[in-house]
Amino acid sequence: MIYNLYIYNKHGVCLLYHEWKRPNITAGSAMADQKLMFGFLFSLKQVVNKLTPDSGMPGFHACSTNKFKLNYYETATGLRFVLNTDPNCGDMRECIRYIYSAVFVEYASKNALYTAGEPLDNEQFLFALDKYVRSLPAFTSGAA
Amino acid sequence: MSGGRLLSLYINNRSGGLIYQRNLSPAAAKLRDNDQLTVASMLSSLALILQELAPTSGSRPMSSLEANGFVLCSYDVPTGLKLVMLAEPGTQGLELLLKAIHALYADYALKNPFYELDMPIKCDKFDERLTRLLHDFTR
Repeated sequence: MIYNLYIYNKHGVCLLYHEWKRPNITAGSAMADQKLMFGFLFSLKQVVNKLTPDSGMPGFHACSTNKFKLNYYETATGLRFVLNTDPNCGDMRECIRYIYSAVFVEYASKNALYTAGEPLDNEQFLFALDKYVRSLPAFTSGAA
Repeated sequence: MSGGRLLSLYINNRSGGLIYQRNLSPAAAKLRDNDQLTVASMLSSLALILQELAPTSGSRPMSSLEANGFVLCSYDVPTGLKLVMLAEPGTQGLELLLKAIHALYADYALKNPFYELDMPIKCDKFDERLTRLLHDFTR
């Protein structure tokens, strides 16, 4: 099951928040939730960098609790993608990379009317994103 | 049982303070004592923040982390004790290992009359049994 998606730019501005299912409504505002998520990613990255063995590559791609899994992808330009799924979804790295290369690049980066750093409200982008996510086998699997 | 090498073990008390740390491989990141304390307490708080960010209800704190250079498995005991194991990617059976380490903690630290709750674990018998357990795991 796929819950929601966050996209941040390198300055921590939330470009997009989209939810498909969210059984647990946050106590605070949506903005507070987005800021908390970015703060979490920022601090976790620091901890991971410290804990990575000298020979290993820094960076992380997923973390999970008993109820959900947070899948993370950071591009070389500093864009951060977070896709929350149920814990049994398997490796979602390819899916996030696809959202970046085939949806974000095609409908946001190549769009002359889109200013970098502005929230994404382009209808074509949202349509392409929704269509791709709904086509994933993970979208319906494990539905309660 | 395993498949990869174990890197390091951290045990935090219920307030997020580090009470035990051991590097289990020369490959493990070498942190100064101060950094170990910071990293351990950050792990405790980040695990709780992830619980807060959960899109579903009934979530517990972070139980695993997949990084490019290691995997982290965390076992939270209902009393608040937190056991964290770092290993090479692909290592299996970490949660069972942490449960076994918790049993050793209960037997050789908690039952030691000189051990004070929530204070750093300095018990020879615990060290000794832990070494034996980890040796059996990696064999």
